[in-house]
Amino acid sequence: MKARSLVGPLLLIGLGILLLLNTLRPQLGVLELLGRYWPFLLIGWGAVRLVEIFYWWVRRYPLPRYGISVGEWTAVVLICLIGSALHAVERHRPWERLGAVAGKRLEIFGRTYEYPIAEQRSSVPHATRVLVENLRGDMRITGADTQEIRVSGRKTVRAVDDSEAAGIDRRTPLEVTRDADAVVIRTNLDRIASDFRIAAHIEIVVPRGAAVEVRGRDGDVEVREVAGLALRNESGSVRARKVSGPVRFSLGRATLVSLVEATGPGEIVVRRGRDLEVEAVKSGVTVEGYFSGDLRFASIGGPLRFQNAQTTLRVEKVPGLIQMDLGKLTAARLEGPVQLASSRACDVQLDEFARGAEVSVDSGDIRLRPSSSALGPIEARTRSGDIELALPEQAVFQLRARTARGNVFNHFGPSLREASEGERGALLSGGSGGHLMHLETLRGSITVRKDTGVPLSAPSERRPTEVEIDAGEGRLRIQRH
Amino acid sequence: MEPDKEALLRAIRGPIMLVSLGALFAWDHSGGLAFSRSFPILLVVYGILKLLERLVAGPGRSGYGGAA
Repeated sequence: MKARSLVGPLLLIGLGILLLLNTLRPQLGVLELLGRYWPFLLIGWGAVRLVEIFYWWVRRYPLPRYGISVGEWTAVVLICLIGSALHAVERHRPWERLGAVAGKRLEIFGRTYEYPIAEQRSSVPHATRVLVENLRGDMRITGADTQEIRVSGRKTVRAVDDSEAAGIDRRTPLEVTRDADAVVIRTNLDRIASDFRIAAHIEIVVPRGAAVEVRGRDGDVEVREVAGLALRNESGSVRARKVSGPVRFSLGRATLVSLVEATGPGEIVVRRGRDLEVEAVKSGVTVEGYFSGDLRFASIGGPLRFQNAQTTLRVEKVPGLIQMDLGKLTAARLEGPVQLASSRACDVQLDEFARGAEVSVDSGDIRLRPSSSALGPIEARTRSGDIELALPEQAVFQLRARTARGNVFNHFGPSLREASEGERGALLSGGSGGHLMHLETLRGSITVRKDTGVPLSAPSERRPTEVEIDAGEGRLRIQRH
Repeated sequence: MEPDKEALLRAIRGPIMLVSLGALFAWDHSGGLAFSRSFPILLVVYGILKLLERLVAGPGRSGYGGAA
């Protein structure tokens, strides 16, 4: 009896279900998910075929000459090509660039017309929910001691002549409406098909007790003195100050993301950002995403979680400061245990951290100076780089340090024993009980020295880009310190 | 060595290559090593599988099953 494979029917069923989901539930983003996870289709296919072949072998059915036929390999190549293309599209989002190019082309031909947005007022209870929908343009939202919402601003329209611009302005009126549980402020820019031609720069004053939700696509947003903030934006900087209540940012591209003076908790998800600043947040903060510039975390009263596919950082509290960029992490005064894992090259310097640390980087130097009051277990690993550990003179600890190619330097005397490791490496171990310090580098020196009370070089107080938004006058000032 | 083991090794070569290919792409997409840099692993896996086939076939056999 010739055994037949189940992979073909399974693939057909899977494809049918996916297409069905795409038509019935388009919000699931099936194509986007396919672009991200299609390699698991190949893994599943191969695994099912392996199971089948072993089953046939055990049952003594004749085995196929080749586990994957030529036709199937052709299908695999096609899947690879389509999957890679979907992944590239999902990652680079070329339509955003095409939109920008189309916008620029129009800028050559047309000119910009400006229309004031007449102030609208709506009285509301003190603790209300305010929903702002503005697809394009800068927004400034400020909390004040007031019982009403005031909205004003200006609109810029790119058009070939006056009448076209005036028509676009008329079709996109600002609306302030109240529904059951929220005041909704809408600029209605989505009524224009080519909405890159129009932007509404608005300034909103809300009661201080208002929880604000912002839905935008392109533009800088500044929010201060509100009770809770949820913000979704595809492109632009975000700056939030003095927010009492939870903060949630869901951003695409962002030049600057800044959250200062908030009670939190904070949840920040950014697809691709440059600078990030989180300061004076009373509870925990979670950050997910890629940042190409400077990151700064200071005075965070709860757990800090930062992660992307390459780097994970966990700290229980940040009374001090953490500064990061693509190749360096410098921190002082942390409450741990601190966990840092990076598959990138990264120089790490942790000063005055309590309750231990676990640091693992692909390559780069690691310098650690734990706090003398709350020593904890320490583990530091790098494939290529020096490791330096400064411990209090009276510290009770066990040490296990190993370099496969390099030297060890011991400042604690005979309580630690040196030995050679292979032809070029060295070991340093010993101690008198207490927490375990485990240091390991494949290529580099290891130094275990006494803490002289001198801090490691302090993180430089370099702040991310400052963005000034003045929606009323339409000024935008960006400067880098 | 039993010829059916040889046939088994030959039959699982394709699925193992397919799983490896999927794993390398998954690694690429999750931010790890790019496929353009990791693809030589496929050659290594293929080489190991062929080597196993030859070892199982033993001396005097081609490793191509019934053809020898």
